[in-house]
Amino acid sequence: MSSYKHLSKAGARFLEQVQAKNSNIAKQFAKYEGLTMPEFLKPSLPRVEESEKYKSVKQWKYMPGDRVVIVNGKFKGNVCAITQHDVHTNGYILDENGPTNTVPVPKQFWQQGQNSHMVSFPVPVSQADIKLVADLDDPETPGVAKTVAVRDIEFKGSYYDSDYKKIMPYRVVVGENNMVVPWPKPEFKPDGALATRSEIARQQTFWVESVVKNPVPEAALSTIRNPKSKYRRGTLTTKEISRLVAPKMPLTEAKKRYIEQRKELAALPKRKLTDEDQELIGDKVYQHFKKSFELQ
Amino acid sequence: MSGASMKHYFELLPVQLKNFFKKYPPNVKYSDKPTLITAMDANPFLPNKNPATGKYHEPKYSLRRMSDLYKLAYSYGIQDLLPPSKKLFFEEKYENKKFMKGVLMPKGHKHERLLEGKVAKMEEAIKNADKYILEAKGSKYKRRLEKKQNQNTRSWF
Repeated sequence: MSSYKHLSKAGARFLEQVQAKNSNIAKQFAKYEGLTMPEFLKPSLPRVEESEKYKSVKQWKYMPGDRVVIVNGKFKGNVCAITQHDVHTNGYILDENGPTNTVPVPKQFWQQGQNSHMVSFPVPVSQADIKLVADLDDPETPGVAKTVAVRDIEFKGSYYDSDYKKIMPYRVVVGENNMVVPWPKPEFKPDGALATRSEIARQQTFWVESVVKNPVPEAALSTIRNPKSKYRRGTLTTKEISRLVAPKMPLTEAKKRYIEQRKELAALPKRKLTDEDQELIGDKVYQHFKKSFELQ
Repeated sequence: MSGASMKHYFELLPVQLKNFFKKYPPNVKYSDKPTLITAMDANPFLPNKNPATGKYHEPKYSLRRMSDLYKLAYSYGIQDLLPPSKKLFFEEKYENKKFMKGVLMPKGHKHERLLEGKVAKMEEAIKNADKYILEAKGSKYKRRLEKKQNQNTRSWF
Protein backbone atom coordinates (compact mmCIF):
# COMPACT_ATOMS: atom_id res chain seq x y z
CA MET A 1 0.00 0.00 0.00
CA SER A 2 1.48 3.33 -1.02
CA SER A 3 1.41 5.96 1.70
CA TYR A 4 2.57 9.49 2.32
CA LYS A 5 3.62 8.78 5.90
CA HIS A 6 7.07 10.21 5.19
CA LEU A 7 5.45 13.52 4.19
CA SER A 8 2.46 13.91 6.44
CA LYS A 9 0.96 12.59 9.63
CA ALA A 10 -2.57 13.00 8.27
CA GLY A 11 -4.63 9.91 9.04
CA ALA A 12 -1.79 8.35 11.04
CA ARG A 13 -3.98 7.76 14.09
CA PHE A 14 -6.55 5.88 12.01
CA LEU A 15 -3.86 3.73 10.40
CA GLU A 16 -2.44 2.97 13.84
CA GLN A 17 -5.87 1.73 14.90
CA VAL A 18 -6.18 -0.39 11.78
CA GLN A 19 -2.79 -1.96 12.43
CA ALA A 20 -3.41 -2.50 16.14
CA LYS A 21 -4.17 -6.17 16.64
CA ASN A 22 -7.30 -6.18 18.75
CA SER A 23 -8.83 -2.82 17.86
CA ASN A 24 -12.46 -2.74 16.80
CA ILE A 25 -11.54 -1.21 13.45
CA ALA A 26 -9.06 -3.99 12.73
CA LYS A 27 -11.69 -6.61 13.58
CA GLN A 28 -14.23 -4.89 11.35
CA PHE A 29 -11.73 -4.72 8.50
CA ALA A 30 -10.93 -8.42 8.90
CA LYS A 31 -14.63 -9.23 8.85
CA TYR A 32 -15.28 -7.27 5.66
CA GLU A 33 -12.15 -8.72 4.07
CA GLY A 34 -13.57 -12.18 4.69
CA LEU A 35 -16.95 -11.17 3.30
CA THR A 36 -15.76 -9.36 0.21
CA MET A 37 -12.66 -11.28 -0.84
CA PRO A 38 -13.22 -13.82 -3.62
CA GLU A 39 -12.95 -17.41 -2.51
CA PHE A 40 -9.85 -18.18 -4.57
CA LEU A 41 -7.94 -15.33 -2.86
CA LYS A 42 -9.03 -16.05 0.68
CA PRO A 43 -6.26 -17.51 2.86
CA SER A 44 -7.36 -20.51 4.94
CA LEU A 45 -4.96 -19.63 7.76
CA PRO A 46 -4.95 -16.17 9.24
CA ARG A 47 -2.12 -13.92 8.13
CA VAL A 48 0.52 -13.34 10.79
CA GLU A 49 2.19 -10.15 11.88
CA GLU A 50 5.59 -9.30 10.43
CA SER A 51 7.21 -9.81 13.83
CA GLU A 52 5.61 -13.24 14.26
CA LYS A 53 6.64 -14.62 10.89
CA TYR A 54 9.02 -17.61 11.04
CA LYS A 55 12.49 -16.70 9.96
CA SER A 56 14.90 -19.41 11.10
CA VAL A 57 15.09 -23.13 10.44
CA LYS A 58 14.55 -23.78 14.15
CA GLN A 59 11.23 -21.96 13.99
CA TRP A 60 10.05 -23.77 10.87
CA LYS A 61 11.18 -27.23 12.21
CA TYR A 62 10.10 -28.91 8.96
CA MET A 63 11.62 -28.03 5.62
CA PRO A 64 10.29 -28.59 2.09
CA GLY A 65 10.92 -32.24 1.25
CA ASP A 66 10.08 -33.48 4.76
CA ARG A 67 7.36 -36.08 5.10
CA VAL A 68 4.70 -35.26 7.66
CA VAL A 69 1.50 -36.82 8.91
CA ILE A 70 -1.63 -34.77 9.40
CA VAL A 71 -2.92 -35.20 12.93
CA ASN A 72 -6.02 -33.01 12.93
CA GLY A 73 -9.02 -32.39 10.71
CA LYS A 74 -10.62 -34.18 7.79
CA PHE A 75 -7.29 -35.39 6.41
CA LYS A 76 -6.09 -36.87 9.70
CA GLY A 77 -3.65 -39.73 9.14
CA ASN A 78 -2.57 -38.69 5.62
CA VAL A 79 1.16 -38.76 5.10
CA CYS A 80 2.28 -35.99 2.77
CA ALA A 81 5.45 -34.24 1.72
CA ILE A 82 5.95 -30.55 2.34
CA THR A 83 6.29 -28.75 -0.97
CA GLN A 84 6.86 -25.24 0.29
CA HIS A 85 6.52 -22.85 3.22
CA ASP A 86 3.75 -20.26 3.24
CA VAL A 87 5.59 -17.31 4.79
CA HIS A 88 2.50 -15.13 5.13
CA THR A 89 0.64 -17.55 7.39
CA ASN A 90 3.50 -19.59 8.89
CA GLY A 91 1.86 -22.55 7.17
CA TYR A 92 3.11 -25.54 5.17
CA ILE A 93 1.87 -26.30 1.66
CA LEU A 94 1.56 -30.06 1.27
CA ASP A 95 1.43 -32.26 -1.79
CA GLU A 96 -1.72 -33.76 -3.32
CA ASN A 97 -2.40 -35.93 -0.24
CA GLY A 98 -2.92 -32.83 1.84
CA PRO A 99 -6.02 -30.70 2.15
CA THR A 100 -7.11 -28.77 -0.91
CA ASN A 101 -9.79 -26.24 -1.59
CA THR A 102 -11.72 -26.34 -4.86
CA VAL A 103 -12.86 -22.85 -5.72
CA PRO A 104 -14.10 -21.04 -8.83
CA VAL A 105 -11.52 -18.87 -10.54
CA PRO A 106 -12.44 -16.03 -12.93
CA LYS A 107 -11.31 -16.50 -16.50
CA GLN A 108 -8.70 -13.74 -16.42
CA PHE A 109 -6.75 -15.74 -13.85
CA TRP A 110 -6.79 -19.02 -15.79
CA GLN A 111 -3.51 -20.77 -16.33
CA GLN A 112 -2.42 -22.27 -19.63
CA GLY A 113 -4.21 -25.52 -20.34
CA GLN A 114 -6.98 -24.85 -17.83
CA ASN A 115 -10.43 -25.83 -19.03
CA SER A 116 -12.60 -25.47 -15.95
CA HIS A 117 -13.61 -22.70 -13.62
CA MET A 118 -13.09 -24.94 -10.63
CA VAL A 119 -9.50 -25.26 -9.48
CA SER A 120 -8.11 -27.13 -6.50
CA PHE A 121 -5.65 -25.12 -4.46
CA PRO A 122 -3.54 -26.67 -1.72
CA VAL A 123 -4.46 -25.25 1.66
CA PRO A 124 -1.63 -24.29 4.04
CA VAL A 125 -1.51 -26.34 7.24
CA SER A 126 -0.28 -25.02 10.53
CA GLN A 127 2.63 -26.49 12.46
CA ALA A 128 0.33 -27.79 15.20
CA ASP A 129 -1.60 -29.95 12.72
CA ILE A 130 1.35 -31.99 11.44
CA LYS A 131 4.01 -34.27 12.85
CA LEU A 132 7.27 -35.31 11.25
CA VAL A 133 7.51 -38.75 9.73
CA ALA A 134 11.00 -40.28 9.91
CA ASP A 135 12.70 -43.57 9.06
CA LEU A 136 14.47 -44.62 12.23
CA ASP A 137 16.46 -47.76 13.04
CA ASP A 138 14.26 -50.34 14.69
CA PRO A 139 15.98 -51.45 17.92
CA GLU A 140 14.22 -54.84 17.75
CA THR A 141 15.40 -55.65 14.24
CA PRO A 142 18.68 -53.84 13.72
CA GLY A 143 19.51 -52.77 10.18
CA VAL A 144 15.88 -52.37 9.22
CA ALA A 145 14.43 -48.89 9.20
CA LYS A 146 11.04 -48.24 10.71
CA THR A 147 8.79 -45.42 9.60
CA VAL A 148 7.42 -43.55 12.60
CA ALA A 149 5.68 -40.28 13.37
CA VAL A 150 7.90 -38.28 15.69
CA ARG A 151 6.08 -36.80 18.69
CA ASP A 152 8.25 -33.72 18.63
CA ILE A 153 11.76 -32.69 17.71
CA GLU A 154 14.43 -30.61 19.38
CA PHE A 155 17.77 -29.17 18.24
CA LYS A 156 21.12 -30.28 19.57
CA GLY A 157 24.42 -28.92 18.27
CA SER A 158 25.10 -27.86 14.73
CA TYR A 159 27.11 -28.79 11.64
CA TYR A 160 27.85 -27.47 8.19
CA ASP A 161 25.32 -28.78 5.75
CA SER A 162 26.75 -28.88 2.26
CA ASP A 163 23.31 -29.20 0.68
CA TYR A 164 21.92 -26.10 2.33
CA LYS A 165 25.42 -24.51 2.21
CA LYS A 166 25.12 -23.18 5.77
CA ILE A 167 25.35 -24.20 9.42
CA MET A 168 22.29 -26.29 10.33
CA PRO A 169 21.28 -27.63 13.77
CA TYR A 170 21.01 -31.37 14.39
CA ARG A 171 17.36 -32.36 14.50
CA VAL A 172 16.76 -35.06 17.13
CA VAL A 173 13.70 -36.79 18.57
CA VAL A 174 12.77 -35.05 21.78
CA GLY A 175 14.37 -36.85 24.71
CA GLU A 176 16.38 -39.17 22.41
CA ASN A 177 19.66 -37.42 21.69
CA ASN A 178 21.04 -40.18 19.45
CA MET A 179 17.98 -40.37 17.20
CA VAL A 180 18.94 -37.79 14.60
CA VAL A 181 16.38 -37.02 11.92
CA PRO A 182 18.36 -35.68 8.96
CA TRP A 183 17.20 -32.61 7.08
CA PRO A 184 15.72 -33.34 3.65
CA LYS A 185 17.78 -32.59 0.60
CA PRO A 186 16.72 -29.24 -0.79
CA GLU A 187 15.52 -29.03 -4.34
CA PHE A 188 18.43 -28.75 -6.76
CA LYS A 189 18.92 -25.22 -8.05
CA PRO A 190 21.08 -24.94 -11.19
CA ASP A 191 23.82 -22.30 -11.10
CA GLY A 192 23.21 -19.08 -12.99
CA ALA A 193 25.13 -18.05 -16.09
CA LEU A 194 27.31 -15.62 -14.11
CA ALA A 195 28.09 -18.03 -11.27
CA THR A 196 31.67 -19.05 -10.50
CA ARG A 197 32.23 -22.75 -10.06
CA SER A 198 33.07 -23.67 -6.48
CA GLU A 199 36.36 -25.39 -7.37
CA ILE A 200 37.57 -22.22 -9.11
CA ALA A 201 36.40 -20.04 -6.25
CA ARG A 202 38.28 -22.20 -3.75
CA GLN A 203 41.51 -22.35 -5.77
CA GLN A 204 44.41 -20.77 -3.86
CA THR A 205 46.20 -18.18 -5.95
CA PHE A 206 48.34 -16.39 -3.38
CA TRP A 207 51.08 -17.91 -1.25
CA VAL A 208 52.67 -16.05 1.66
CA GLU A 209 56.44 -15.96 1.11
CA SER A 210 57.53 -13.88 4.07
CA VAL A 211 55.85 -12.43 7.14
CA VAL A 212 58.40 -9.56 7.12
CA LYS A 213 58.41 -8.57 3.49
CA ASN A 214 55.36 -6.83 2.05
CA PRO A 215 54.06 -8.88 -0.91
CA VAL A 216 53.08 -5.68 -2.67
CA PRO A 217 56.13 -3.79 -4.05
CA GLU A 218 56.69 -0.28 -2.67
CA ALA A 219 56.21 1.27 -6.11
CA ALA A 220 52.92 -0.53 -6.65
CA LEU A 221 51.35 0.77 -3.45
CA SER A 222 50.34 4.06 -5.03
CA THR A 223 48.42 2.17 -7.70
CA ILE A 224 46.30 0.28 -5.19
CA ARG A 225 46.03 3.05 -2.58
CA ASN A 226 45.41 6.51 -3.97
CA PRO A 227 47.69 8.72 -1.86
CA LYS A 228 45.83 11.78 -3.10
CA SER A 229 42.43 10.45 -2.10
CA LYS A 230 40.26 13.10 -0.49
CA TYR A 231 39.57 10.66 2.32
CA ARG A 232 43.31 10.22 2.97
CA ARG A 233 44.30 13.85 2.50
CA GLY A 234 42.63 15.16 5.69
CA THR A 235 42.27 18.69 4.32
CA LEU A 236 39.62 20.29 2.16
CA THR A 237 40.42 22.13 -1.02
CA THR A 238 38.86 25.51 -1.74
CA LYS A 239 36.68 23.89 -4.35
CA GLU A 240 35.35 21.38 -1.83
CA ILE A 241 34.80 24.12 0.74
CA SER A 242 32.89 26.17 -1.81
CA ARG A 243 30.69 23.15 -2.46
CA LEU A 244 30.06 22.56 1.24
CA VAL A 245 29.43 26.19 2.26
CA ALA A 246 26.19 27.80 1.18
CA PRO A 247 26.67 30.94 -0.90
CA LYS A 248 26.03 34.29 0.77
CA MET A 249 22.74 35.90 -0.10
CA PRO A 250 23.25 39.08 -2.13
CA LEU A 251 22.26 42.26 -0.26
CA THR A 252 19.10 44.04 -1.24
CA GLU A 253 19.23 47.65 -2.41
CA ALA A 254 17.58 48.81 0.82
CA LYS A 255 20.10 46.88 2.91
CA LYS A 256 22.99 48.40 0.92
CA ARG A 257 21.59 51.89 1.48
CA TYR A 258 21.16 51.10 5.17
CA ILE A 259 24.79 49.97 5.50
CA GLU A 260 25.92 53.05 3.59
CA GLN A 261 23.97 55.27 5.95
CA ARG A 262 25.32 53.45 9.00
CA LYS A 263 28.82 54.26 7.73
CA GLU A 264 27.89 57.91 7.17
CA LEU A 265 26.42 58.16 10.66
CA ALA A 266 29.51 56.56 12.13
CA ALA A 267 31.70 59.06 10.28
CA LEU A 268 29.80 62.09 11.71
CA PRO A 269 31.58 64.09 14.43
CA LYS A 270 30.83 62.76 17.89
CA ARG A 271 29.45 64.68 20.83
CA LYS A 272 32.04 64.73 23.58
CA LEU A 273 31.66 65.17 27.29
CA THR A 274 34.39 67.71 28.03
CA ASP A 275 36.09 68.44 31.34
CA GLU A 276 34.19 71.73 31.48
CA ASP A 277 30.92 69.82 31.21
CA GLN A 278 31.94 67.58 34.07
CA GLU A 279 32.98 70.63 36.08
CA LEU A 280 29.63 72.24 35.32
CA ILE A 281 27.63 69.19 36.33
CA GLY A 282 29.75 68.66 39.43
CA ASP A 283 29.34 72.29 40.43
CA LYS A 284 25.58 72.11 40.02
CA VAL A 285 25.42 68.97 42.13
CA TYR A 286 27.58 70.61 44.79
CA GLN A 287 25.41 73.73 44.84
CA HIS A 288 22.25 71.66 45.03
CA PHE A 289 23.39 69.68 48.06
CA LYS A 290 24.91 72.73 49.70
CA LYS A 291 21.57 74.52 49.42
CA SER A 292 19.63 71.58 50.78
CA PHE A 293 22.01 71.22 53.77
CA GLU A 294 21.71 74.92 54.52
CA LEU A 295 17.93 74.66 54.59
CA GLN A 296 18.04 71.91 57.21
CA MET B 1 35.25 75.46 47.35
CA SER B 2 33.94 76.07 43.85
CA GLY B 3 37.44 77.06 42.78
CA ALA B 4 38.62 73.47 43.28
CA SER B 5 37.79 70.71 40.82
CA MET B 6 34.14 69.69 40.88
CA LYS B 7 34.79 66.82 38.53
CA HIS B 8 34.67 64.19 41.22
CA TYR B 9 31.06 65.16 42.00
CA PHE B 10 30.25 64.14 38.46
CA GLU B 11 31.86 60.78 39.14
CA LEU B 12 29.56 60.30 42.15
CA LEU B 13 26.39 60.52 40.01
CA PRO B 14 24.36 57.35 39.34
CA VAL B 15 25.56 55.37 36.35
CA GLN B 16 22.40 56.07 34.30
CA LEU B 17 22.98 59.81 34.51
CA LYS B 18 26.70 59.54 33.83
CA ASN B 19 26.06 57.40 30.76
CA PHE B 20 23.41 59.79 29.52
CA PHE B 21 25.68 62.81 29.87
CA LYS B 22 28.49 60.94 28.12
CA LYS B 23 26.19 60.36 25.15
CA TYR B 24 24.41 63.72 25.30
CA PRO B 25 26.76 66.23 26.95
CA PRO B 26 25.28 69.57 28.08
CA ASN B 27 27.65 71.60 25.84
CA VAL B 28 25.29 70.96 22.89
CA LYS B 29 22.12 73.01 22.72
CA TYR B 30 19.58 70.37 21.80
CA SER B 31 16.73 71.16 19.50
CA ASP B 32 13.30 71.52 21.05
CA LYS B 33 11.69 70.36 17.81
CA PRO B 34 12.16 67.12 15.85
CA THR B 35 15.11 67.39 13.42
CA LEU B 36 17.20 65.01 11.32
CA ILE B 37 18.92 62.08 12.95
CA THR B 38 22.18 63.28 11.40
CA ALA B 39 21.92 66.66 13.12
CA MET B 40 24.31 67.31 15.98
CA ASP B 41 21.54 68.82 18.10
CA ALA B 42 19.07 65.96 17.54
CA ASN B 43 17.04 65.70 20.72
CA PRO B 44 17.05 62.09 22.04
CA PHE B 45 13.66 62.67 23.71
CA LEU B 46 11.95 63.51 20.39
CA PRO B 47 11.29 61.54 17.21
CA ASN B 48 13.80 62.53 14.51
CA LYS B 49 13.66 62.08 10.77
CA ASN B 50 15.92 59.83 8.74
CA PRO B 51 16.87 61.85 5.61
CA ALA B 52 17.64 58.68 3.61
CA THR B 53 14.25 57.03 4.08
CA GLY B 54 12.14 60.06 4.99
CA LYS B 55 10.78 58.19 7.96
CA TYR B 56 10.76 59.22 11.58
CA HIS B 57 12.73 57.19 14.11
CA GLU B 58 11.26 56.60 17.52
CA PRO B 59 12.81 58.78 20.25
CA LYS B 60 16.09 57.34 21.56
CA TYR B 61 14.61 57.59 25.07
CA SER B 62 10.96 56.81 25.65
CA LEU B 63 8.81 59.10 27.79
CA ARG B 64 9.09 56.60 30.63
CA ARG B 65 12.88 56.45 30.47
CA MET B 66 13.03 60.22 30.05
CA SER B 67 10.92 60.61 33.21
CA ASP B 68 13.22 58.26 35.10
CA LEU B 69 16.25 60.28 33.99
CA TYR B 70 14.55 63.61 34.78
CA LYS B 71 13.52 62.55 38.28
CA LEU B 72 16.99 61.18 38.96
CA ALA B 73 18.59 64.38 37.66
CA TYR B 74 16.11 66.43 39.70
CA SER B 75 17.28 64.77 42.88
CA TYR B 76 20.79 66.05 42.07
CA GLY B 77 19.60 69.46 40.86
CA ILE B 78 20.87 69.01 37.30
CA GLN B 79 17.55 68.62 35.48
CA ASP B 80 18.19 71.82 33.52
CA LEU B 81 21.18 70.21 31.79
CA LEU B 82 19.00 67.58 30.15
CA PRO B 83 17.76 68.15 26.58
CA PRO B 84 14.44 70.04 26.48
CA SER B 85 11.17 68.16 26.62
CA LYS B 86 7.51 69.08 26.68
CA LYS B 87 6.78 66.81 29.58
CA LEU B 88 6.27 68.65 32.88
CA PHE B 89 7.17 67.45 36.36
CA PHE B 90 6.45 68.31 40.01
CA GLU B 91 5.42 71.97 40.73
CA GLU B 92 5.58 72.93 37.08
CA LYS B 93 3.25 70.08 36.19
CA TYR B 94 0.91 70.93 39.06
CA GLU B 95 0.78 74.63 38.17
CA ASN B 96 0.24 74.05 34.49
CA LYS B 97 -2.27 71.35 35.03
CA LYS B 98 -5.18 71.61 32.62
CA PHE B 99 -8.33 70.66 34.43
CA MET B 100 -11.13 68.95 32.65
CA LYS B 101 -14.19 70.94 31.69
CA GLY B 102 -16.31 68.74 33.90
CA VAL B 103 -14.07 69.35 36.89
CA LEU B 104 -14.07 73.12 36.40
CA MET B 105 -17.73 73.42 35.43
CA PRO B 106 -19.60 70.42 36.72
CA LYS B 107 -22.84 69.87 34.90
CA GLY B 108 -24.88 68.87 37.95
CA HIS B 109 -28.14 66.98 38.18
CA LYS B 110 -31.18 68.20 36.33
CA HIS B 111 -32.97 69.37 39.48
CA GLU B 112 -29.86 71.35 40.38
CA ARG B 113 -29.69 72.94 36.93
CA LEU B 114 -33.41 73.90 37.00
CA LEU B 115 -33.48 75.08 40.62
CA GLU B 116 -32.65 78.75 39.87
CA GLY B 117 -35.52 79.25 37.42
CA LYS B 118 -37.84 77.35 39.65
CA VAL B 119 -37.07 79.57 42.67
CA ALA B 120 -37.52 82.75 40.56
CA LYS B 121 -40.85 81.48 39.32
CA MET B 122 -41.95 80.65 42.87
CA GLU B 123 -40.95 84.10 44.16
CA GLU B 124 -42.84 85.77 41.34
CA ALA B 125 -45.92 83.68 42.08
CA ILE B 126 -45.81 84.42 45.85
CA LYS B 127 -45.49 88.12 45.17
CA ASN B 128 -48.60 88.15 42.99
CA ALA B 129 -50.51 85.49 44.90
CA ASP B 130 -53.58 87.71 45.77
CA LYS B 131 -53.93 88.84 42.21
CA TYR B 132 -53.85 85.30 40.85
CA ILE B 133 -56.37 84.09 43.49
CA LEU B 134 -58.76 86.86 42.64
CA GLU B 135 -58.40 86.13 38.95
CA ALA B 136 -59.24 82.55 39.62
CA LYS B 137 -62.04 82.99 42.10
CA GLY B 138 -63.86 85.93 40.46
CA SER B 139 -65.49 89.18 41.60
CA LYS B 140 -67.77 87.62 44.22
CA TYR B 141 -64.83 86.46 46.21
CA LYS B 142 -63.30 89.94 45.81
CA ARG B 143 -66.35 91.56 47.30
CA ARG B 144 -66.43 89.07 50.15
CA LEU B 145 -62.79 89.70 50.82
CA GLU B 146 -63.31 93.43 50.85
CA LYS B 147 -66.27 92.99 53.18
CA LYS B 148 -64.20 90.92 55.57
CA GLN B 149 -61.45 93.52 55.55
CA ASN B 150 -63.98 96.21 56.27
CA GLN B 151 -65.38 94.22 59.21
CA ASN B 152 -62.01 94.07 60.88
CA THR B 153 -61.17 97.72 60.45
CA ARG B 154 -62.20 100.09 63.24
CA SER B 155 -63.91 103.28 62.35
CA TRP B 156 -65.64 106.15 64.15
CA PHE B 157 -68.93 105.23 62.67
